[in-house]
Amino acid sequence: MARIIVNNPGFLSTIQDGGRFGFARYGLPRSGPMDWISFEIANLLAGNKRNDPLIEITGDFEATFEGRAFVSVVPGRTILNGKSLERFSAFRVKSGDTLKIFCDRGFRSYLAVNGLQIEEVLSSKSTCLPARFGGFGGRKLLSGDIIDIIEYGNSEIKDRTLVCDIDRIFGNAVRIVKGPQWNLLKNPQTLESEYTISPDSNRIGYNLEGERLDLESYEIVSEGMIAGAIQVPPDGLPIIMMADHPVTGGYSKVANVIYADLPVLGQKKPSDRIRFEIVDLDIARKLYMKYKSWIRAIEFELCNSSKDVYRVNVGGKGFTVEVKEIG
Amino acid sequence: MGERAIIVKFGDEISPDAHKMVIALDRFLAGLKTLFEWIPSYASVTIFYDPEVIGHEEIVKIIGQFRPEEIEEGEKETIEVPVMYGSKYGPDIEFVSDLNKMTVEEFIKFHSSFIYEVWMMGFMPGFAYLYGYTGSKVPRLERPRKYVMAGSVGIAGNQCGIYPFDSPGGWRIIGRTELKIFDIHKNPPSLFDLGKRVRFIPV
Repeated sequence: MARIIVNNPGFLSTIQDGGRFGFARYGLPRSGPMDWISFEIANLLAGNKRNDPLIEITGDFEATFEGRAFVSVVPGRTILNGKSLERFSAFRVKSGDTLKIFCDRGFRSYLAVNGLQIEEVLSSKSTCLPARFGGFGGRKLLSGDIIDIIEYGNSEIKDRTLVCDIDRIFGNAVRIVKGPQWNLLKNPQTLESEYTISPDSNRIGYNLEGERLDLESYEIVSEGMIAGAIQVPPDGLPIIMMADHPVTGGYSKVANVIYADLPVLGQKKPSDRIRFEIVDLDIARKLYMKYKSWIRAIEFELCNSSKDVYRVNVGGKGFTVEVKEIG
Repeated sequence: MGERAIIVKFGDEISPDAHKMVIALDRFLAGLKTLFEWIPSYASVTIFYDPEVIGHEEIVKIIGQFRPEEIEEGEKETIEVPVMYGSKYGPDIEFVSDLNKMTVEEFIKFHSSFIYEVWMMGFMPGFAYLYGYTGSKVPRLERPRKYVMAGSVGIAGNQCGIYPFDSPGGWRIIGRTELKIFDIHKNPPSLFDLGKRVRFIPV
């Protein structure tokens, strides 16, 4: 068994997988990554499945390895034994190697490790910080924490680098669709003014500072919420629900950040500025499909880079063909 | 609500009728093999879906097949919750008793005389909003306590609730139970669920 030893966990490092599904009715947050795009690319680069557990890092991070492992970091700057590595790369590490990660762009990095050993609790390996369970003992990682890794053996995957552009998530444009209580908003144009992420923002929610929103009524009968929901409490300053948000809420929800742009928020730190852009629901749906299929294309590329695989079109249907030499 | 959720609403008020409809839709959905998850609340059911797995139109079609009058009410399980009322367990019991113009003893009898029902889950994992109390509406604390112990029984307005974890809280605390409200080693992990009934037993 190989191991990763945390030297510096940064502001907040937690284990996250694709999220905890099926327990929302009991009040459990879904958790999962704050930036699903970087999360999925990191996993795929490391030869994992898209939704496997990995380490979500907020700020900087440092760890040392024991044994052999295959890892990747997205999108932070990675330094292995003092040597800077290319972005979007996956690489082998061995005993004594020290990995440093700096968030030179954005705020969160994803460290994916092939074969990271995390116990499943309630169908997920994500840390549920609000209820203190799952992930690594239900808590954030601390200096000295050790996580087991299945030793990386017959290295089928070689060190590799992905050509990839995710610059969009470092921008400040956040697309939204109108929410269930949009019609209660008396100054709708204000929502498209600039907002600043407040210091008391976290994985539960982002509090925004800026122009106050004027609503006919701030309180509603509590109802279900999703990540990206923008609630407005009576002080008029919006709160965006993030990965660990409570599943129900009683403030008016004027808008909803589209799924494709949740990573833009995930990469924002306190004092960063954002600007909402209203789009139609139809566009939000198209963007959902667009980014999902973009990730699928990356998955296809990475999963098959070591094999001789072709995509062919026969009679309007797509097929994947693997070419093997007949011995 | 966005490209990943649909809210099915039964009015804009907390009422027994809305609750009945929510229970019926919850049962209807539970009887299907669905490709989505949902959260029942006071007067609505929020359905979450992955647009790659199921389309918005398909969900609307499923909801269109919902016939509340055809859904059987079914048995409702009653959970007995032993409560240590007052003293250090319930620091606000005098306040709430005064509000109801009762002695503490009278109030304990009063509060434990009702059969409560879970009308919504939320706020934190395992937290149930319980309806049944018909006394004076209880105002929340002006400033929430920084620390409320797990198992604390609170009142706010005409709702009761039990804190599953140590946490900050603004409800008036009248007692505490030793029952485990949320247990990750059980499936389901929550003692409470929509429609379950609760009886408080003074100990």
